[in-house]
Amino acid sequence: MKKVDFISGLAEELEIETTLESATNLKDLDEWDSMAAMVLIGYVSNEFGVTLNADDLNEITTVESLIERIGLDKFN
Amino acid sequence: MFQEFHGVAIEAISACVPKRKISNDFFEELLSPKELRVFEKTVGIFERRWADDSITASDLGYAAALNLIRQNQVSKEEIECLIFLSQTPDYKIPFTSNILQDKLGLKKEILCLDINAGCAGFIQGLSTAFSFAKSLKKGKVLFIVAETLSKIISVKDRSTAMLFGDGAAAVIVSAGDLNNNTTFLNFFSDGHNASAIEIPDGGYRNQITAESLNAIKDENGNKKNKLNLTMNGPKVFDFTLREISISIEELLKKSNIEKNEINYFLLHQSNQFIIKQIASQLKVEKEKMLLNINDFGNTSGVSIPLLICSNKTILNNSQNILMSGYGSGLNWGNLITNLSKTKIFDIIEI
Repeated sequence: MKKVDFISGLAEELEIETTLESATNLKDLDEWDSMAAMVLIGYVSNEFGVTLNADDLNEITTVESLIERIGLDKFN
Repeated sequence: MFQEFHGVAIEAISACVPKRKISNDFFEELLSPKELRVFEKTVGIFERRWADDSITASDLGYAAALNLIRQNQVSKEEIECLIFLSQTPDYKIPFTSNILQDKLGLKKEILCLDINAGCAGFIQGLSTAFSFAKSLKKGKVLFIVAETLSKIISVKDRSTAMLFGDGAAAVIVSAGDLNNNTTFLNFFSDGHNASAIEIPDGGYRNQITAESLNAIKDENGNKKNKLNLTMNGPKVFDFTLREISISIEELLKKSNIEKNEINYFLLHQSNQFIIKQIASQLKVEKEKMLLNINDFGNTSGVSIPLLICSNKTILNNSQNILMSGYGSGLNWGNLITNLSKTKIFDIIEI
């Protein structure tokens, strides 16, 4: 998947009203809460077959750090 | 633990919920309209039933059990054992099954037993009921599972208030009559994470003090006291996605049943998102995962029998049903059985 497609899909899933970029800290978003975390887990699991756990969610900050956790090899 | 029972079956099942419906509008102070939309889309709860102050879990269980007696599914004389499973009993002392023995007019020569168990309770209770039924020369086991979680949550705590509902179910288990049925069960426990779902005070580890009743605000603005249910959502969420599908695969393997031989999966109705995730982990079509969380929320151990009573026709026309319960403890268990000959009654209201 292209990073740009992943980011726009993620913005759609999280119903984010501002622009989402690689450097955006997910935790700073108004929309970020436990339900958003659930939506994120579902999106990543459906698209990549990777299940994020609570430790992953604690460690993830920016969209780029999320992409690194999923695995850079899964993006082109 | 793995168990296998031959010649023991669920003869009949009935469920009861309170009349009072609580829609999501009730929680508009807790969530913004957008948050509510995401909650409905992910968790999948639109409504739950909450008992009035005058109705206890055992009242709901009594109504469900009486329905089975009135429908001639069992005579009072035949009941040799009464099991009541709940986390919201009538009293600390005495245990509730003894109260129900009298209220239901059951004989005195009976074993009455309470079980304190949570969201895996239906599977734990069936294991107990099947074990007793197998040991009986004649007679039947009445197993009642009942909860009023609305009475132990804080309505100002977003992490629990909207999730839980009340209800009860009564089940008749017997050996012999529905003889060629085979049931498989497996169970797991992780006591290391016991505090993931708990009521901190009110037992004898932390006895009730005046301080127990003080509402405390957490970092997310949720207010609850130490007699309210607390849940570490992320920990419980992780646990369900990490353990449940693996435990289901293990039961299938030990039972020598292929996944595609299971007609329907009845998972504890904790969260629609979790159920769908487990479906995709198991590579099972989502249509095989029955859902009624939209109408009743998470009713702890009652959710699977409520789901059975919501799906009478399709379950009576199926051969292999897999049930999976998971929650407080942490504890989880699965069961494969056949409900094609089980008398399943429509959900009643009181």
